[in-house]
Amino acid sequence: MHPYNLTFLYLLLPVSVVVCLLLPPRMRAYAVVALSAFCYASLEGERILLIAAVILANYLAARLLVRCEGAPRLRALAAAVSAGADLALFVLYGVLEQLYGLHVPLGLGVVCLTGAGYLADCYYGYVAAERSLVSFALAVGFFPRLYAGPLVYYGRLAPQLHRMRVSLDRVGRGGRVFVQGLAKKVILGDGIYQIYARLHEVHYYNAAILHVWMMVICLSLATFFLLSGFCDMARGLGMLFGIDLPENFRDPFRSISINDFFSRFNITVNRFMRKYVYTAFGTPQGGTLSGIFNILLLSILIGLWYGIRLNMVVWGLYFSALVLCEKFLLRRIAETVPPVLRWIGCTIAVQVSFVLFAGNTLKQSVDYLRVMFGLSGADFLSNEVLYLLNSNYLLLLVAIFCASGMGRILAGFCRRVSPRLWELVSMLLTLLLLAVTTAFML
Amino acid sequence: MKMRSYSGLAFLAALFLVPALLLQGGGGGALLQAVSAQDQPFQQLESALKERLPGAEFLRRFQISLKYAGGSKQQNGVFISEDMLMLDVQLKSQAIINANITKMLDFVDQFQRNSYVMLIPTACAVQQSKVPYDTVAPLYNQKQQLLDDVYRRVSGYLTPIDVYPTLRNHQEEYIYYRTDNTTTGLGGYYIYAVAAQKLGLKPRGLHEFSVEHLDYNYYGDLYARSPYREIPPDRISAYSMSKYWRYYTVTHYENDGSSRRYYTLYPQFREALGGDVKQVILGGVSPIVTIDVGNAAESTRQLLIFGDRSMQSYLPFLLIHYPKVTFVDTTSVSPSLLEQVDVSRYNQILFAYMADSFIGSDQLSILSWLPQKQEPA
Repeated sequence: MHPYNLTFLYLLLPVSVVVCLLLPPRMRAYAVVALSAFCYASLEGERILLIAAVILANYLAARLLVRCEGAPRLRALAAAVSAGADLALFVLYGVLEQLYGLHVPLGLGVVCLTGAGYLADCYYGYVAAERSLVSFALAVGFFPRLYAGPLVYYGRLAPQLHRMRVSLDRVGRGGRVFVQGLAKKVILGDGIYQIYARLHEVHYYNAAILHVWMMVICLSLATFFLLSGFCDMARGLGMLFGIDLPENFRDPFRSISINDFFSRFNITVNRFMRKYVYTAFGTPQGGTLSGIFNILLLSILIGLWYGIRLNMVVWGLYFSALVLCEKFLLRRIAETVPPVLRWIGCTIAVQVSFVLFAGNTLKQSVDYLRVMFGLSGADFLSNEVLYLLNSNYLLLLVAIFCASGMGRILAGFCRRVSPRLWELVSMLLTLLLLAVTTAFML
Repeated sequence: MKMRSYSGLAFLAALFLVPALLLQGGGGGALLQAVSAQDQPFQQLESALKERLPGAEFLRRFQISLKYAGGSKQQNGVFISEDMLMLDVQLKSQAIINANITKMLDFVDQFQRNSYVMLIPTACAVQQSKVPYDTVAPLYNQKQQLLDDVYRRVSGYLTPIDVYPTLRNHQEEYIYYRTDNTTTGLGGYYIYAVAAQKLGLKPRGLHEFSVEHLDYNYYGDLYARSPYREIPPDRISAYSMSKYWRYYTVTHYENDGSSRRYYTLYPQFREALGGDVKQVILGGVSPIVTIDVGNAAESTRQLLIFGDRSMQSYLPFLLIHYPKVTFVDTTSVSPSLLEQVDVSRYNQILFAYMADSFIGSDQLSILSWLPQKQEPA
């Protein structure tokens, strides 16, 4: 049962929220873990055993680290083997998916990476090993987080898990965030993805220049709305059940530099990688070469998070090159360039990167690039593009408005001008959006 | 209580309102039944909830209207123009067309009858100006890519009957149903006028037929398929030769061996018995329909038609020229029933399909079940 199913929204969710409101705080974790297990099992069946085994293994490994306090070598070995097993499982499934089309259980990446990070934190003493298996299972396997994150390290969640605060105030805020996420996924993400899918059906040698540009822009918008929609749903549900999860997307298409983009797009994944890879390898204290190496490694790993395939490695290399350019070549020039021009440059660079998502192979991506930049002799415009623009103008306008962050700016302004009126308007808008989204779920 | 708490209460109330209304409306039983199903209970529960959700029909219409207002004038494979629905016909596989052509050629080779092929273009090919964003809509070119191609490839074996130019000349008239993917009675007349000439007959003028309007409130298959509802209904008309009285015996044969017979082309009690009004025209469409015409035929020629339901539009006109016509619906006829058709008894064979039927599926493989050994005509 997905969080974007009517069954979840109108049957399971209201009952679960009321149960959580009525239960004493220390019992709430049990209820949410049971809800997560129920939803997961309804989707993945017996694969829940794999996720449960990973969670249990990480929990026991952390307890083992506590027991081995006096034996540093054994402790290091236990931490390395356990965290390595998490990463190996994640990579193995990714590779098998690419090679043999193996189904990867939902959220395996989130569970494995959170588990590996937790073990690293326990080993270095940043967090204490969790005593309660239920609290740990909730931190790692909170169901709505398994789709697309946010990828939170354990230390951030741990303080909340033993006293999950649930109130009508939080229900109001959580409901609003959840409905926004649901609308992003159901109306904008799915709608824009359909346009992308239709454009993607056309072979590149039949595609016009604007066709490929539109395809890439639609893919970037769909990716943004789907991922941020799932993350907002997770954040909203977290608030409803007493867990605060961080924001994962903050208007990424307003970025004026590549570094800025990475601080706005899939924020928690980037922070996670930065914490466990970039910092762990010694930068920013290290030298220039070490810095370059770490930027390369970090970018490639962030790319591989989206899928273990060659295109994603190249995606990482592409962004590494851009980050290094910004860092070493363009830093001084950038200061003199007006923000609008920097925004245009950054937006083009980001959109071009989505060619690597669109292409099934590297060659296909290169072919798309050749069309985009007029190197293949393709026409500039095609009827297909005009037809799709006509047929979807409202959806595209709404998507661009929402992706631009204007909605957030407008909401912030209204909140400052009249907070109480804004609360009322916001409540009514949430209910209206819920009705509209329900209509799109039918 | 803070304003934000009211927001929480309102959100919870909205969530609880739906199951409360559902239970009040008696939908609880259906949900329980769905969730207790052996096979995929959660999917069934979701489907049941979609069906039973309070205000579901209103919300669906709202969604469709919103999409339509947002420019989406093609939904579920159907173009939504100002006053009519049109099927968006797209080529699925050239192999299907090739297979259908090959089967026709094999048939001619095997039975050596005078054979004709008539592909009827759909509304979006004839009334292109009504297609939303017609100048840029990615339409399949039925005229060039299908009709001309098929007619060219069968030339010399079958006589092509190209009704496209005539239909195109009359595109402003009511020749296609607004809510059904086929031609109206009037469209059927124009098809007949072209076909009759190719079949060696002298077509009669439209004024020689009387018309009776059976229904003004008909909604066809496109209406059922498209979620859009703001389309006016269709008028169903029955055309009859008014000059000379004829006796018709229409016999329908079903695959289970049963049959039924009418002594009129328009058995109106069929509608009264619960069928839709199109069941009145020739008594509907069955795997095999034979029509014997008494007191009329100019010739002794007999016609065998392999086709689809589009025959309901043009066959009432063609009948005045033949003492006997047999129609075989190749989409539904069973091999055992087809074995009873003796091709040698017919002078003319007509393959007649709507363009979407012909490119959409293998229509003619079933012909391999026709009896191989035929008596001389």
